[in-house]
Amino acid sequence: MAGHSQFKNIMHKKGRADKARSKLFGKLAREITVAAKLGMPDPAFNPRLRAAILAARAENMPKDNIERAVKKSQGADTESYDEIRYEGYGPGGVAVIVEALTDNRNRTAGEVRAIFSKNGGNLAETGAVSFMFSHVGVIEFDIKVASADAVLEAAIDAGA
Amino acid sequence: MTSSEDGHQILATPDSLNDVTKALEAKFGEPRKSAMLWKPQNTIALDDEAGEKILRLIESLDDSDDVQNVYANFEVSDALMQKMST
Repeated sequence: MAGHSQFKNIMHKKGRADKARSKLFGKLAREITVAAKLGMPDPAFNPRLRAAILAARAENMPKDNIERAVKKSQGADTESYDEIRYEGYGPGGVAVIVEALTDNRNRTAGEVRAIFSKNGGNLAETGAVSFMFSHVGVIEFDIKVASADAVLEAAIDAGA
Repeated sequence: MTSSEDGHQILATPDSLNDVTKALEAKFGEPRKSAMLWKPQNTIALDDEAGEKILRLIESLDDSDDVQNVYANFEVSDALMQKMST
């Protein structure tokens, strides 16, 4: 390997991880803002917002970022985001579903289409592959909270 | 529902997700995750070459700021997953 500096190596890797992290936070924040805008800005009355905040916390997103994302939804000048689902095929005939939140449909559609074709796939019409998937809700708990039997029983009681 | 060493995973219909989450939250505290997702009904097993291509596609899609989630119906070897995630 060129330039045998281990530190440089770490720096490089860390830089990449930090970038991925801020990208992830950006996505989580966008979902929070959209959810807060659609319903009430209080997670207790807005299931989608609550789910979005849970997802953000699971990734250790700082509380400040979460609050800022909620607050942003209440501003008058916020961009409005559309939810779009793209469906297509990847190499090897693999069915792919892409969920996007965008403030510019044309840009995103072009971008997604280009990524598909650059990687040996192609974008199909909405509905072309989603029948091969089930749209389901998933709830996850840490293994520590209870035994499998207790969770199963509670889940059945709850109507899952 | 399934349990593994990673945790407990409970499936619910889109309509009941919220109610089930609330009921379970009252019992076990806040869940780690509660979300809607697309679950493949069948998966295609891919060799490492095809697997690498599809993983690259997904990575590129994920790289777009507008993309929130990507789902696909394939399976690859653990070794390839490991290789691609580092």
